[in-house]
Amino acid sequence: MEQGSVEISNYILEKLNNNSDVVCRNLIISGTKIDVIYVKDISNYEIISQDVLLPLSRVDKLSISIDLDYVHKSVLAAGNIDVEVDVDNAISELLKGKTLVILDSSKQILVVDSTKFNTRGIEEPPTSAVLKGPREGFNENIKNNVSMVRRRIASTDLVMKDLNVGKQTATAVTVMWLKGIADDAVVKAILNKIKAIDIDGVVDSNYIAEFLQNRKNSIFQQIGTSEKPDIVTAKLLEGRVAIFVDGSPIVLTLPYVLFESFQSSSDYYSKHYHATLTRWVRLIAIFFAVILPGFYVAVQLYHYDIVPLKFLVTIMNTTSGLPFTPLFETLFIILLFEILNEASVRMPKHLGMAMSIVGALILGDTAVKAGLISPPAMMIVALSGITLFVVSDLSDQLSLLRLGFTLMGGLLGLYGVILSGIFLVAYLNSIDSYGAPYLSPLSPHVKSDMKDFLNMVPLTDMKKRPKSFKNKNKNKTKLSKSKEVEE
Amino acid sequence: MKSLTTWQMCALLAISVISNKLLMLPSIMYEYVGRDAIFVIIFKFLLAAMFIGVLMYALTKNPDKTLRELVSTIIGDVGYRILAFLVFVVYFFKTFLLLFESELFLGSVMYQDYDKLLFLVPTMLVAGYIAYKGLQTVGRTCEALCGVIFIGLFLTFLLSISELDCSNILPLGIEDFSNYFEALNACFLWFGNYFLIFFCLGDVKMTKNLVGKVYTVFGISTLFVLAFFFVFYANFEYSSGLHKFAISDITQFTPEIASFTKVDWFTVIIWMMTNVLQCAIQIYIMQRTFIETFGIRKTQVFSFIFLSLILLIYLFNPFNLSEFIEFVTVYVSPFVFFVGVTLLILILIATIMLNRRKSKQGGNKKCLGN
Repeated sequence: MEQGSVEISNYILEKLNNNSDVVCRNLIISGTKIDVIYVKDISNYEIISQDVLLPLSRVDKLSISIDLDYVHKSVLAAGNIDVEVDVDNAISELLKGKTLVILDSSKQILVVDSTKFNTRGIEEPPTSAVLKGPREGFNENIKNNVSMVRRRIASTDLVMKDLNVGKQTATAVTVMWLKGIADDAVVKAILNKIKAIDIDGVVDSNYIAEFLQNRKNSIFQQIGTSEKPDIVTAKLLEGRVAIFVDGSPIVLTLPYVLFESFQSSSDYYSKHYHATLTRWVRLIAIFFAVILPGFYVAVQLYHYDIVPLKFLVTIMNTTSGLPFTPLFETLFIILLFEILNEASVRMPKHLGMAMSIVGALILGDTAVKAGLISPPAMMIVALSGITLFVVSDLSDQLSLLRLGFTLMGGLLGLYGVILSGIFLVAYLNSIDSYGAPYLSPLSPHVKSDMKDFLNMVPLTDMKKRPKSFKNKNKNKTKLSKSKEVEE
Repeated sequence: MKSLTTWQMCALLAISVISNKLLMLPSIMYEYVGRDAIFVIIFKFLLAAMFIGVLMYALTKNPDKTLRELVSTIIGDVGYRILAFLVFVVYFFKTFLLLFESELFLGSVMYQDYDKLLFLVPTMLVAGYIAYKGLQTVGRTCEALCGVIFIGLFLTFLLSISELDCSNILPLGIEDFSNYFEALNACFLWFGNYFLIFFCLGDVKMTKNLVGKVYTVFGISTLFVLAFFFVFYANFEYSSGLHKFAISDITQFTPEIASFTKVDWFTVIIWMMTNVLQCAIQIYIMQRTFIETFGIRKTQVFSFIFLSLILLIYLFNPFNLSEFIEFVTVYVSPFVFFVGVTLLILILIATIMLNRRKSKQGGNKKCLGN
């Protein structure tokens, strides 16, 4: 653009529809016209006044001729200043909270980092609360999130690549990995996929996740998610790639294997015996959550001779006279549970307690007394409902699987439940996440990764990085090649 | 890229060895040769061990050569296609046998009101899905479930051992020798599941002590089957022939377990897993040989049509199980033996030839180097 500061400023203001939140300060410093443009609600006034306007006003008193280079290097006191040639790029930077300094004598524009957004504080995420261990959680500010991980990895091997995704939102996305540990091909594949994303806007990291997963119609997530910097740090150290998205407290990690969801950060902050126990408990809970209603229906409909006689009599007494078949009864309670669950999530907090009393106690109790449902079915679905949330990452998927297993149990009995189980295992075995088999280290069996599977060994014995997915430098205690050379 | 790890191949082999031998085979063999069925089984397993030895030799000498590549070097591609079709026919009958057995078992033991179609369609869909996904998924699924299956079966075995009276199995070796051959001939389709290794050739990641691992797994599975037969005959003595469903009867008729609870059901259900997995393995081999014979491209539509056809043929077949076994004994058994031995001989010759070629090339290179 062969124009002076006035034309550039006018172009920018017009492009931004002369919006009321865009401020343009016209200054004349030592005879040179300078325009300072910023968006008032997303810019830091302190930086603008202290590091931009004040230094410029001091130059005016010296009465010397100035140019862009002089202003850039000798006048402005801000920590981060870029020189931009393209006006449209400068506009997108302006919309991210940066301040533009335009000199009449130059075609270039100075972009001063003055970003300031009001964000939520750093809190413990509700989905990954721990008794012992770090409580920091990510918030919606990408800079905060990146800095929290950066603080934990003081390594020259930490690499970050910034990208913008979304035609309208130009959302900042940072891809982070450890050079010499993460597999180059995986990093390249992820970067290429993100660059190829064609979308108008990215509101949350799930928008990116949808584009990164290989099987779009699968009910299973193929990308790891975390709200805690300690977890992301650990995953980076294992050779995974982290993807931060501005506006989202959820950080994506790749490659992903299903068993990651069974692991909790607290496993690593307590004794390994306890971690082993809790992991087995999680696995059993998943079985309860998915299989129990289907099993109950199958036994009631087809295989009641499995149940010990005394217990069978108790069940028969409670189920006699019910209007529904066991399958419909169980599906009805599951539906009831899902409605209560959905309502309690959306409902204001202070109503939640009343809701649970009305829902769980009064509604359930009344339905049993009214003879609509039986106490064993109620108990089975309630147990299944509670255990759904033991592995919170998988609760959505488990909820759907529970329905499937219940239907198969109702249609084909225990054989149907078994068939569903085999299908599930086969299906999971057919999924790969960037070269990582989904059920690894179970199948394919990876002996060294079994140290951090259901039975966990002490941290001091975990000397190797996971072999379930591609990464370099398998030895945890050995520095990557680049670092060794430097030292 | 190789599809299978060593352990996956071992899991496939283990499931193949045990899958269909624990249901009707013990009582059928008893009818032919009495308790001496154990000798017949030992002979079958020794034969299988020898054949596996040849396959392991081929696999370790030419780890990148598939069955097609090996056989084609001797009899050409057309010859291979003919043999592949014969293997397809063998597996067609094997799959029928598996479905017959499972259907009978489910209808007689597990359900009071039983709908044939309601059982067959989901079974074929699940097995077909696993087969469609390919050798890698078949191998991984077997690997993932192998542990659970073995624990379940071991539990059944332990539960039934309480009533064991070893004197019931003795004396052995009293049957007429001709009965042995009759039993060998009649039960051909239940054996020879090591055939699947043919289709693993060229697709197994080579690891240290591959042959040792394969033989260890084969040995353990074989011992398990033998021990099961031993316990079955020892438990039921002269009535062994009447107990058609060995895996469920062995625990059902044991008072110790019956008084405890019906926990044996769980092991029976777990055993059903092996049948579904075996069905998947067989459909995979059928599909692969069919594709290789006729040069069809593997698509979802083809797999679906293929499965539907097998299902339709099965549903409208005129045989019942005993007629089917009779038909198989007379017409199919010699054919199965012929196909198996021919393939083995061809593979052995191909491996030796390729090795000679390699060593010649190596020798030439050495000469050039000198």
